Amino acid sequence: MEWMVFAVIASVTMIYAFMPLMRERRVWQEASDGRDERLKSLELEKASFLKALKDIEFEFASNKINSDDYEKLRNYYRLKVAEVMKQLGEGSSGGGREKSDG
Amino acid sequence: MVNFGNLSQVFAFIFSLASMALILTGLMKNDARFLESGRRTLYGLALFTTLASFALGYLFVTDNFQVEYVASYSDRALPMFYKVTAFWAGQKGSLLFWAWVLSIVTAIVVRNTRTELKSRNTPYIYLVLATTLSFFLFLLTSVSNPFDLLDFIPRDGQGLNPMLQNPGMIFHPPTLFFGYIGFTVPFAYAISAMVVGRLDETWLRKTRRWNILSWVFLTIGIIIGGQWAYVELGWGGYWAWDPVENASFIPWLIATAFIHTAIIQERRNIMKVWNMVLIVLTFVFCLFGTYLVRSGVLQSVHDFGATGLGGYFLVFITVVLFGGIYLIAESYNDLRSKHTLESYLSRESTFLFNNVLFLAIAFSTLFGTIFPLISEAVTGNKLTVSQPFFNQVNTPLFLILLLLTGICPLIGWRKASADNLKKNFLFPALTALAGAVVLFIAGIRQFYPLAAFSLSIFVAVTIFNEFRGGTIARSRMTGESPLTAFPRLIYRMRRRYGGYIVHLGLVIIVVGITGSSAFKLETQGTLSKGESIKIGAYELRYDDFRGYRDRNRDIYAATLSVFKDGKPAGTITPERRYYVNAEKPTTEVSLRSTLVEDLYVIMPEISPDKEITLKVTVNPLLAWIWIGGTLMVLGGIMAILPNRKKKGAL
Repeated sequence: MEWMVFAVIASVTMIYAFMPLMRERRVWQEASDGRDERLKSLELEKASFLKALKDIEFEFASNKINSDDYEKLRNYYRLKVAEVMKQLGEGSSGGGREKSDG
Repeated sequence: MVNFGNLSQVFAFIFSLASMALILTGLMKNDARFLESGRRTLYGLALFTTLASFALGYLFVTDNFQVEYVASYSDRALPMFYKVTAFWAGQKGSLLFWAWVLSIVTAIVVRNTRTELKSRNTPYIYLVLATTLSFFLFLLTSVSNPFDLLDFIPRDGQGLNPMLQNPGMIFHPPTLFFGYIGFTVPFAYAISAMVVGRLDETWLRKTRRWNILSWVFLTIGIIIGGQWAYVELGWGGYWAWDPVENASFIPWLIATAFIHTAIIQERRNIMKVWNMVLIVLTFVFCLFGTYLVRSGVLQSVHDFGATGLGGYFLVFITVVLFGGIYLIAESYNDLRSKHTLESYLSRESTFLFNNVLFLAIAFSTLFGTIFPLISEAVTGNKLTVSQPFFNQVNTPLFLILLLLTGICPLIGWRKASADNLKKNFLFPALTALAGAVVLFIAGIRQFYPLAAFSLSIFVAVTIFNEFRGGTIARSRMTGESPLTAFPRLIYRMRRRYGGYIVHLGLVIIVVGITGSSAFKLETQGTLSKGESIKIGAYELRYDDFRGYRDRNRDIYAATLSVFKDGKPAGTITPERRYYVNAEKPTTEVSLRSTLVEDLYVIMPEISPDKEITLKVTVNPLLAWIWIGGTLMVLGGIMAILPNRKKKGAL
């Protein structure tokens, strides 16, 4: 009985695990020009700069930085966000969805 | 059920190898079918380790003593409760438990990444997890099989070590294992990031919850281990710098450092190399912790099931360490940050200093722990360093770390101005100074206790100020009343405020450790009925003695009336227990615990005419350690509570 139960479980699991191999071949990664990766990286950079701006607002409101530093840092990160958004605009206008069907 | 368990384990091993082979083939052939199959195989692996684990649990519960592992760690008289926990009492069961939990964790990762199979990282993450599982399943199927049978069927088992018959056995080993195992996930993500060259902070963001959850489990494991040692080992303390205690403490320290610098990388995109080094070290020391318990190379109170698996672990640890170093070296140019610290007067730089301290404590603890091995290799003699070494080296480092814990919240990210720092620093510093003067006048003259208490005041005040200042800032920015702003602030910024709660827990632990180690009182004496023993404000009068049978043990208990400052304060009953199948009797601690102090009594000897020898300890503020530990865990959990609103204002 013990053997039977195990044989059933093992068979079902193996069918489930190896079933995809019975299908037609599918390419996992098509060659990419790296545009998608670059866009993702820019998105992350943008999120990081926006987070930095939010931090600076809170740090200033909590009296941890003075108004001079607050202004300087805020302007610096606003500029950075603008730069990244410009690059994102250029990047996305070029299209480039990753062509993979894995 | 033995065959069922054995087969399940063998199939789990085969599936782990199959998974590795399928994923590698999929990567080499660029064929999604193989990757999908490799992914599904990992689910199958989790199923088979689960079946094997249930089979072993069933063998324990049904007293199948032909199974050598069951016969070694259980007997018929063992309460059901401990029969279940005996699963992880020895090496073989612990390894199966490791493999089981890791396979479940792997299945969760596979499930969470089911839509990301086409991402270049994902197959490598699976590969690292499958390889780690293969290592444990190889040990289980070839070297350390919990389903091995004896040539005969014993009438009874050898029973569970009496010291393991404690509720701590339910939580301490599993929570430590969960902690160790959990760090496999960020390690796998880090390795995969380096292999495919995606070295931005994505891997950190995706594993943030795993990091903190694993840290929380490690913290719970260490705290429960201390509590268990306190009530079970009977020497009056909770931490002895035992090699196995250290083996869990070292990865905890490195993981704590990693959690701090991971925040910096997420916010500032700097310290990428450092974070890779830290996560590799954390995982290496998690393996090292498991190795140390199971290798038997160092003498420890945890030598319950040590056998010769050391060599295998050492090889695997070496591969992980050198493999990690190689990948970091290969990726070094890409990991180097474009950004730098904007100012040394910033929160980032205090995080950097705290990292240095965490690592200094970790490596001094490592040095002390493996010193017997070093001395044996050099001189031929195994020399050990004891508690004074660890205390002398680590206490000043901990105090500086505590100071930084206080300074850190006072400084803003990126750049703090000296004026603002002075303004924020003044009140906590003056309060701490005033506290130090009061404590000095009250009679606390030793340097370390005075410094520890004063710094604790400093840190507690800075944390209080953070909550107060944050509430005011939020009120100002949103127009909310302070009563509304306070809970919303904590909820919206729970990562930050969860961290502060962890820091508050640390402060409370420091108070508890300082009080209980610097002001501890101890005495010992032999009493006949009616006689008393005095310690500090306490007097204990020996009133009664009785012996009785309870489940699998004979118990001899003395009843003592407790008087504090001459007034009755209840009774305590230290015990001596003779367990079935145990070679030696054990002492059972009797404890009267309050927030102010613990009265801790053990009875090491009973004479034939019922004279009892008592060892009595008064541990001031000890309960604070458990309270602080609980707070640390709660703070950690709070920091990883999921977001309901993804884009909140603050």
